[in-house]
Amino acid sequence: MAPVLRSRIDPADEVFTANRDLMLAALAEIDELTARVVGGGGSNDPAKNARSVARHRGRGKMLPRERINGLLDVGSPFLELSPLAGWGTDDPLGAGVVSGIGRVHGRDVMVVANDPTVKGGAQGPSAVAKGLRAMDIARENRLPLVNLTESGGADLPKQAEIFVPGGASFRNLTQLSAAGIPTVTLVFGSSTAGGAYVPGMSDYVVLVKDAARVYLGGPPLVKMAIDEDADEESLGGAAMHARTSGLADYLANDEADALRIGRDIVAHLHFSHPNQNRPLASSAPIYPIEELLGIASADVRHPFEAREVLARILDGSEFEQFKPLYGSTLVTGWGQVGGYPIGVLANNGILFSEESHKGAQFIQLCNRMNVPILFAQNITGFMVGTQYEQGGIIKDGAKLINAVSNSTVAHLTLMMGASYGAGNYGMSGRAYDPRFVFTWPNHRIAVMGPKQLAGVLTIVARQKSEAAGVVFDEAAFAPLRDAFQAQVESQSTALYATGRLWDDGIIDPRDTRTALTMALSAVHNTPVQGTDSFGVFRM
Amino acid sequence: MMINRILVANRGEITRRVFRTARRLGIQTVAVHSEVDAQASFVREADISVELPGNTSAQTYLNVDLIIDAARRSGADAIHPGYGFLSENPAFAEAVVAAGFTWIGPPPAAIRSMALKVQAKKLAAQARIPLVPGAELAISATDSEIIATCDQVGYPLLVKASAGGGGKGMRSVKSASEVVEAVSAARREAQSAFGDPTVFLERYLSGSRHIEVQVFGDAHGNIVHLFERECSIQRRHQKIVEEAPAPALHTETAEAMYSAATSLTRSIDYVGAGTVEFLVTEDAAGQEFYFLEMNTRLQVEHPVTEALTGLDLVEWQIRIARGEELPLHQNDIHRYGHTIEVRLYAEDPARGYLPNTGTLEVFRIDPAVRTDSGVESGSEISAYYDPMLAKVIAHESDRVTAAAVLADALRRSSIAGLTTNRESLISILTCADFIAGDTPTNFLDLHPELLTSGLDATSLDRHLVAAAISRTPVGDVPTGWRNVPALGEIHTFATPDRQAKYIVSLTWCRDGVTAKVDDGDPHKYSVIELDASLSTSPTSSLSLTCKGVTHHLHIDNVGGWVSIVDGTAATQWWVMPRYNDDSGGDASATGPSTPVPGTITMVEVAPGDHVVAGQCLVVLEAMKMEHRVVAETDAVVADVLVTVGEAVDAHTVVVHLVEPIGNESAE
Repeated sequence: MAPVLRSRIDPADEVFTANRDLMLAALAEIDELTARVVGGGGSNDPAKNARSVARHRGRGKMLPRERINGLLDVGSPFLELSPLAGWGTDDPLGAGVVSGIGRVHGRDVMVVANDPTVKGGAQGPSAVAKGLRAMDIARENRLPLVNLTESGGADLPKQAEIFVPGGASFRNLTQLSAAGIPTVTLVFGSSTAGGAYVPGMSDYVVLVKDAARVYLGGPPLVKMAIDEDADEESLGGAAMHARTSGLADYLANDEADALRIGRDIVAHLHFSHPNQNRPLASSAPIYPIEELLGIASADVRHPFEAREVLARILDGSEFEQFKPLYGSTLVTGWGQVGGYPIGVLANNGILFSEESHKGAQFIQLCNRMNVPILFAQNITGFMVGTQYEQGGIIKDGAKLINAVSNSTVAHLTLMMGASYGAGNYGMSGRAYDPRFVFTWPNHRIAVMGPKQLAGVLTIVARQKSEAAGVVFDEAAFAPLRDAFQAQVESQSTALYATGRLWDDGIIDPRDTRTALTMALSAVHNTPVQGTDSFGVFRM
Repeated sequence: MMINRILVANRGEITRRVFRTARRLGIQTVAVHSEVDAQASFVREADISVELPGNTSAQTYLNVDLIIDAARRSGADAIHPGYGFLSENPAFAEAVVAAGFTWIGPPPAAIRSMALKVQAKKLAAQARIPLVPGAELAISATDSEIIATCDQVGYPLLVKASAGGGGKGMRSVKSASEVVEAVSAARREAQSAFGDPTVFLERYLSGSRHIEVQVFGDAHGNIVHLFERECSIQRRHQKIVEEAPAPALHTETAEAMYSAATSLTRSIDYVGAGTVEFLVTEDAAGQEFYFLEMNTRLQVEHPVTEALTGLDLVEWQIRIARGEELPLHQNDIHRYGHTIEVRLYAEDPARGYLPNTGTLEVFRIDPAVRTDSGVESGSEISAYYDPMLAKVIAHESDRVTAAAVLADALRRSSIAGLTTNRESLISILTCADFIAGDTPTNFLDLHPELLTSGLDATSLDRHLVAAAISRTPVGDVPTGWRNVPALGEIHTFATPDRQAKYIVSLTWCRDGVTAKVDDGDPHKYSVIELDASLSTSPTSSLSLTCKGVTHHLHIDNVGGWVSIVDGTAATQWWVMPRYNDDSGGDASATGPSTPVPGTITMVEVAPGDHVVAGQCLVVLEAMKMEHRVVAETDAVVADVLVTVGEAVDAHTVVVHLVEPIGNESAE
């Protein structure tokens, strides 16, 4: 049994309570946004949203999350991914599609459900990105994919943005199938034009009687193209596809029946968990998880102790520290989450050469042991300055990035604070393909801090004018500098990041342990297999 | 005379009851059983069992030759008849004796003298015991003669089978217009149950009480009584609540009744256990009692007397059969405190006591009280026999405590799988008139509200929420966890009679669950699981906190049923499937259909008949009760789908009806 971390938090402390209040305020804003997404409709007009939901229900149809409830096991958890995708873009909030991981007959499955109350389920760029991300997760973790389809196809005004990248959806479906990962599509309504290839490319297709419509061209298009008068049912009705075209493998009486059939299909797949690294017995952390709200700094410029976070995430708050006395701003060691053993790299400050060495060594050890790695990011970057450049910080940072890039055990990344500069890379940022990235609301992400970035810009401008022999007008430059700083600030928030799918969703810090457990459960659907093959470590 | 091995010519709880004493006395046991009873607990508990081919009572438990043969083959040396079936059949007693077995019951002549009620009344009259006013009814009487005789007796009156018992072949008649049908129905039932259609009439004494005296005689001429039992609370003329001492009986009335009972018993040279039944009336002038009948067997309700006196009546029967003298003299027989017994039935009081058959998934009666039962969890309740599940008996220092303890025990018992009269029994035991001892034989007619469940809305909600939670497995992450607040998870439950359906929506959150029942207000609950995982153990304990108040619930989850007991209420729920099963079923049945499984005894229509709404189409017998299938609307019979003697399942369509063609007969 590993040593139990000792917490030194004082929940009555001013900094703690201020952090908690700000975190709760940020969560309230996120809850409000999430409630809008769950409510359906997708527009900013509540009355209009209510009308489209009522119209949908009036047809006896379920909302996407109701369909998901009906598909999943009773009591199954559901880890919804990127619920606020599209934030800050002109796509609807949530992108009109719900994706996530839940359990069907005890198996982890990836579910992707269109929200037909949002633009009729039409797909914009965010929806395409969210769908592709879901398929990536299904492929990397070998999760059966269940599509709950009802979509008007492409969001036509945005066709230019989606036509080309969107094509990958269909390619991915058949590649999942080729990789032996089952794909199941239940069609509840329209799935037309390009959308017809969603059932078309799936292993199993269930169509709901009198509701599913699957065709390449609808009656108007058929009229235009070949001057044929065709009705919807003969072009793409569920009964036609079940009896005549053979596109449907199962004909469902109604939505609930389709969900029942979908469950039966998953049951018969015998798609087994590889059964290695089944979770061990686990116990909750000994410290209250709620205290995470006050531990993480609301302002990422204020450092906080990473071990206080780990003490509230790891099973039994137990953590075996590796090299605690060396490279102390990077905390490394072993623990468990939800009974799954993991290696942890957590930032406790700037990365120096020692930290880079330590991190690279630790990642290699995790690869030898076939243990997944949690990267807990709160990083402002690698150290700069003459002393450090001369000390080889580039070479050392490269070692860490080399290790991260070539590591083959699953990586999970938790954005618990700052993520600036190459620190993002060294700590397995989005571009380094961690299996999952989860974000706390206080998270900030950019090439560097907004203030520093604005300062750098000022210095560069000053040097430029001085080089030109012009006196630098500080006062005139100030508004420009402030505007730039504000822009960087607005583009480095958690919401901005999640809106662009730089992560897999903002989570409430109190849900961290559960989200990580769900992620680790998903990860273990494929063997955790490390490597001894890395790039050349520059010595 | 030694008895080494007793065969009990009966089934269910009374067989187990006799076995219990036999074992205590070092006597081996033999069960006989029908095919459907092969797995029953009384068969498994026997040392030796013999199957009687078939299932109907006539084929099995009423089959004298086969039972005697079974006794011979199993090496039994004595036969105990239990109650019901052949227990009061003098021919059986004679056959047992003739075959050389010891008969644990009264001499055949004594049985015969009391077997026909018409004759028993004559004997009682000779013993100068007052009789309930009434009249005999010749089998040849015409309709108008029947009506005239009834008019003489006066209304309301009861039509009773002379050979009857247990309420079978009995009909109550309020006015002349009902007479003819009641008499013919009683005759049919009597013929079917006892092989004798003779019925007689008895004035219905309103407000009277049913009080009976337990007597014993031995072969040495000793006769004692073991005090009285009051069994006034009846449904369909069958006792469901029995107690002793009788709450409102005057001492002098009681003494007079003991004396009447023992002198009647002595007058017929009675040996063994018997019961003399009386009706007791009370007016300003005082109490009067009238002889009803004498039962020459051990009564169903004998545990009341056992608890009250601390004696084992089955042991007394066995000792007397061995030729011993009565174990105690009258002066040495005492009673202590107060005893109440209730009969728990698989039936629906709110729907005319409709019997319920199927699997009793969960059956655990609170061990704080005595339970005499023939069933256990997993038992099949068939349509062939009486649907009594158990007798539950409380014995306390006083009546009020006994009633409270018994009601509490019923509330703490886990039952699921079949509709029972449990809630109704609890309502009876806790209602003010019962507590006051105001219990005439028409008690349930006066209190129709006691037939339905008295569960309050808060308990209903709590139990439904607990049922839904208990259906939710526990996994590696918090149950039902969502990072995005989701719409509720739906659980649907039905009452055992399927008449009411409830939808429970559970929304899980970090620190509990918000639950909504139907369109009610959502309430937040926190949940603590006390024992093994709900998902892996059929029995579990759950603590459910709502608004700061925690209830501790015991839950069974078996075979698609949930039983919930929390000390304040007990409920059972049928778990409705998550998805509609489109494989069809009862819902597809259209047309008049059988309410219960049973045997068709009469087909009253033929193809082409015009029937009017309410007209009887088919009569079936189930559990010795007649059930009529009637036309819902005016119609024409297109086809009759069943025949007399056919065994049918519940919900079988019996007749195909079509709409009448208008004006066919218009001229």
